[in-house]
Amino acid sequence: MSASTIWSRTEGVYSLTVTILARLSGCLLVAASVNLGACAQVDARGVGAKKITITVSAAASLSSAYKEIGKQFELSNPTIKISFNFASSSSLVNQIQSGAPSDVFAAADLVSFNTLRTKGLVTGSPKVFARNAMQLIVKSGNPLGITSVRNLNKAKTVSLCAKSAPCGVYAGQIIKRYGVVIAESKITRGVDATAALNAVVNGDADAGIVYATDALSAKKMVRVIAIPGVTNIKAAYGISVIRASKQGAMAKKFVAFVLSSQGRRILSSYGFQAP
Amino acid sequence: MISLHGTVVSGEFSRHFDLEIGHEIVGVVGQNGTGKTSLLRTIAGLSALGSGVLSLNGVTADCPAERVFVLPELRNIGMVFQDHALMPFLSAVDNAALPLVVRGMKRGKANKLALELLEQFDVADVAHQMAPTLSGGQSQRVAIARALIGDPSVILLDEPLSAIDEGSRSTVRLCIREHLNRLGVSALVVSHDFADIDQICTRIENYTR
Amino acid sequence: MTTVGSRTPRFVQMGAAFGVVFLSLPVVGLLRRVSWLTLWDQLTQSSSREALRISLYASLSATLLALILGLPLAWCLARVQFRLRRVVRALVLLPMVIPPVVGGVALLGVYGKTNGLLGGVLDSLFGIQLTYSIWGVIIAEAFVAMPFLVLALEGGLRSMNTRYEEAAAVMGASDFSRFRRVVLPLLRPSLVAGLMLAWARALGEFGATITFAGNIEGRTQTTPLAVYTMLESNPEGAYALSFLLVAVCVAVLTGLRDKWIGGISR
Repeated sequence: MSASTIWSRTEGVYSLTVTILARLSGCLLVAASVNLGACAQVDARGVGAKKITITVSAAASLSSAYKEIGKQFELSNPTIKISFNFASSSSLVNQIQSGAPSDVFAAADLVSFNTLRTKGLVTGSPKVFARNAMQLIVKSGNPLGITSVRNLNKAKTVSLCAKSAPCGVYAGQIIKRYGVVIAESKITRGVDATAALNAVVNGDADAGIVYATDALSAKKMVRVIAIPGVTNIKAAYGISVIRASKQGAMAKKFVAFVLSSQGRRILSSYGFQAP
Repeated sequence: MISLHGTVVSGEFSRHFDLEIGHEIVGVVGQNGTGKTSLLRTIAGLSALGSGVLSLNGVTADCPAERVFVLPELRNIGMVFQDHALMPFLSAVDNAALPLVVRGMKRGKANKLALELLEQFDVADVAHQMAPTLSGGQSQRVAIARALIGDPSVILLDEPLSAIDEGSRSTVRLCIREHLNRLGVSALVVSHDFADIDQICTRIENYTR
Repeated sequence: MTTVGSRTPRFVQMGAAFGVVFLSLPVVGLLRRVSWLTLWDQLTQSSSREALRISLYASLSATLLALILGLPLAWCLARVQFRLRRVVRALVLLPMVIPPVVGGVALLGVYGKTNGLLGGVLDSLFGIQLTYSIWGVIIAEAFVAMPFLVLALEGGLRSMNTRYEEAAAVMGASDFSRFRRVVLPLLRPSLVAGLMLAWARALGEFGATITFAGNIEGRTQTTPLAVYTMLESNPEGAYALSFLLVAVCVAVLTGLRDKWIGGISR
């Protein structure tokens, strides 16, 4: 088979593929628009009503709980769509200060709101909607025989959050309460609570101090060692509407939902303590 | 001594040769495409015979039937390539000295010998110039010096004077002839210029299509 | 003498101008944020120094590793006809195309101590843990940098005329001698270009490093990781380090210009 026949064959196949793809996407486009049209029709609360999107910036440890809260909220408020932005509370503060559009801010502490209050980016004090403690997690099977924060130095690599994130601050406080010093050269700092958890679950960090809620979610894959209440911290999670929000009324609705009994029920099902 | 009785192949080209060269300088004339360069490449070991036997100084260097093939670096051959193939990153004297350095001689000593040889070919004045800056004729002479320096027992020259100007041709021809005679080697010279062959060689093989 | 090819239409000129602006504005934006008075102090404080030390050591080691593994690979791709050639070439380009974080996850899958392909064996038999160690950094960086080196070397080897090696062979040079005295000198432009590109890529690696080697200050926190970590707590330090990284890359690229062009025009 000569080169020219191969090329013309390839060309033929190529143009055929392009045609098929073009036809397919054309069909899909038609189907999609018909579907959307149908949806808009089925939406009983106002034919052709446009959905309002509100952006909720929340601490990484709230990921699973808030996603479910969001789902429930959307069910009872079909005109509102929630878009989430999960990261460490300290990152979110930076983002909001830099003008990132956000309607609601939920943090793993109350301190994060201080800077925002001074800059007038939020009004009033944040409302506490949940509390959380921390737990010690180790690799399942506990090969190094770690029994408490006291002998955490048995671990070669300890996973904590960044020093500036609330989960990093809390873990530091707990370690200090035990009078233990862990060399920085043994600590791998995740960018947020989820990253810190993953380092132990998926990676090779031997132990980590993470939120009790995160420890609960990973209990099948790691061994959880409880930190007694006297040395533990009680993190107060706060929520507030961002002043610059263009959907102030809807944002307030969401905050109210989080604080409602339904919201609190969802949060406690993920291991959060009552505010 | 070169003894070749077999087919030289190169791509689609294939031709049978019968060649016996003792301590003499044999010239090969013929038009392009008659396989002259392929012949030299086969003797040097850059190509393998299609069939037959090639012996150098009585030792079988290439015999496909018996799966014998001696690598080019072990054949002790000096070769002047059609486009001289000087290393572009070396100076003239470094180029000429390379066959000695490669076999383990200390650079200083090798360079001294190379310089002497370059003098005899009248290119000592450009000894320390980088190869790409040399003229065609100068490069050719350095290449010839490089081929002769290792005292090889077989010398192959592929159009050795093609880039040398008319005026210097006689001198270079005589120089080559002198060296080849002195070394007493088997030499095969390929050229389209009959005058080269006439002046340098002791015998002529004529290969026309 | 103007020919059709050398006349540049106005819209092309404008597009190019926008392209230049698009690429240069971020650099300007960064320079604006650098606090020049405290630059030296920021760069010499301990966490910055550590990050720079780790980055230098790891990126140079990674480049060396990429060379040791990449040169033979480039040779085979350029000169040997083997059956799975296209597969191997795609494999070589893979780290260039996949998201670096994905690369880190993939590396965990092999060298992770807990359930990695080889990691478990390495740990139980030899007590070696690659994750969360400087070796993890080196491996992650070598992984992403290797394609640059292999491509440059393959290009150089392909465009090399074999007549020089033939001449060297006839004059008695063994395989290794030919490689050392002929191939390497001829390969120098591609080698230098490939090494510099690979090194710059290794230096800037983030996603694979943080996933595979973690973010341990003084042990695996490279300069890009330090910049990211410092952004909230010490932005000045972050900008200072960022400036340094950009300056190094600019230096590499300007130093590279002539050699790379020289290599291509061969």
